[in-house]
Amino acid sequence: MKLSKADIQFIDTYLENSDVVYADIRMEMVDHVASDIENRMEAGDTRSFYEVFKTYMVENKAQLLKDNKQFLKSADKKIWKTFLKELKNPITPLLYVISCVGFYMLHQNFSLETSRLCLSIVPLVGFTGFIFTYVVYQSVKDNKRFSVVERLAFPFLALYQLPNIFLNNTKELSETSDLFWTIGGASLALTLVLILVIISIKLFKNYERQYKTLA
Amino acid sequence: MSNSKLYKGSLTTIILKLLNEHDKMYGYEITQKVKELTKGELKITEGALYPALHKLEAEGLLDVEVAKVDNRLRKYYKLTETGTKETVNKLEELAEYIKTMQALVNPKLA
Repeated sequence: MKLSKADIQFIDTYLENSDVVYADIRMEMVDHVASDIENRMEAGDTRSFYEVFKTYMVENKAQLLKDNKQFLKSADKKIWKTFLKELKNPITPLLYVISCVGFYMLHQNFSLETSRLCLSIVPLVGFTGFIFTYVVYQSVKDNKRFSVVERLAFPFLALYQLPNIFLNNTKELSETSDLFWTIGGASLALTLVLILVIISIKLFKNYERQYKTLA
Repeated sequence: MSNSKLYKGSLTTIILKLLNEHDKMYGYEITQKVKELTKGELKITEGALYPALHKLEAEGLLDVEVAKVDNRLRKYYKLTETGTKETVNKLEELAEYIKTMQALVNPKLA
């Protein structure tokens, strides 16, 4: 016996009210719960859907909520794994070299304050870009929340702080070694932000491909 | 099942093997298939299954397809090309492990 659309909606709403807020995680859980209930009913449980659902939840709700946390950990791992994979891409050292050259030329032609300003704006632009893309994505997806897409904000926030470490260590740039350290560090920060932007685009596109039916 | 810890390390191989034999499978289907094949001896909980599936997906061994089935959306998992190659390696590793254990536990049969 297959569950009706209303039954499925009931399970979905129940899980959403139980703090399973991300649509992609809930989708997989709804299918699992519904399949198990259908299995029980096909195996001879003659009670109504609501009664079988109640029994299922008494037995499994604690595990389901635990699973929700596990799903979130998986989402974070997916982001970091994609990030590390992208770091191994030949484009990464290329981006780093281009950044180093760019910052060196900037330092040669402009004052240190101008260089600092340019560097401090980069992560802000990246983060603002992410927020803008996320808001547009949310509105297109009928305000449904997606785990990996939303949790991308954490590494963006973390990397947002990284250039400051190098900026705060550049009181005086009189020594050549200080200059190379600053340019090297700042370029590393910029490269990591750019890699994050690249993987965000990839993950957004991947979600778009996988979950187009959810919109 | 009496000692699920013994199976824990083989979960990934079990999933890959099942997906190698089927074009695509969804989470609940995998749990039921394992239960059926092991005559109820091994029950994979969703708490163990889904993180393992997501890990394999993140590693690029599995691909995902979402389809509308029976009034709901269903996430199907299938092996990628890398996943198919990795299945062969994992199964060889498991066979080697079983052979080693056999030699330890029952040297006459090894």
